[in-house]
Amino acid sequence: MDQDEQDRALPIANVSRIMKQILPPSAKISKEGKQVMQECVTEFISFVTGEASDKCHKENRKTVNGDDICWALSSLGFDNYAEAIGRYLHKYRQAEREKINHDKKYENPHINRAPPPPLLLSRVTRDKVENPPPSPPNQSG
Amino acid sequence: MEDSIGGSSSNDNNIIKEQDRLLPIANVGRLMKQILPQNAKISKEAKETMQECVSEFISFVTSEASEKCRKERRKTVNGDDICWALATLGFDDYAEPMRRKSRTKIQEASTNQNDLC
Repeated sequence: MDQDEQDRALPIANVSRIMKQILPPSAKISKEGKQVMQECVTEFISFVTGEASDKCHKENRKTVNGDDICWALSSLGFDNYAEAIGRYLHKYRQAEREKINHDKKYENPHINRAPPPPLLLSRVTRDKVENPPPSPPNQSG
Repeated sequence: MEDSIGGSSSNDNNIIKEQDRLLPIANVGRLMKQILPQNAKISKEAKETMQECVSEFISFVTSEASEKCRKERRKTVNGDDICWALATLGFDDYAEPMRRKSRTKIQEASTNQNDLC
């Protein structure tokens, strides 16, 4: 794997670890299986980010924020993702506010923010998959 | 392994779990930057949102592939299972490019094998 390809890729060990967390203990993942997922996720990030970027450009903003990502998901047909991510953002911002209040109250700069709870999108979306997402970028004719 | 000591250990465990649960934010951020105009910026919130979303995507697709393997009594999830899961879940346009990439990689591997012989 050349340097360009490495820069473009997400670490396959991390991708693999996330895959393993959802699989039964006895299951294995082939190297090819990991690589396909790695490629697919990279494509997914580019796809969603591209859509968010277009929105920022039209609104003359330079900074992509969490709401733009949510909007892009919805715009591209990932409605169930957008809903779940919206709920995540709400909890994220609550946690941030609580952190600020807590820091002010105790004047303790070392308090760590508790991470927001993980999403349960896999369970929710499985029952609701209806709208296929549109074409990924870089599709050859 | 259980650790019943106080909050600090609990925090450490949470940090470890967080790191294990998500892809590294630096890599996610870098991939996002590659698709954006040069003067664009990405908020920390956006990167963390994308981290969360991508992990869910991996879990979602892997879960579907796993179910297929279970029904066919196979223990190893392979590239075809991932492609099948993408198509089943409605990501058809992802599945086809992935199949082409898989075939290309297999051909490259074969070529390398031939070179070695």
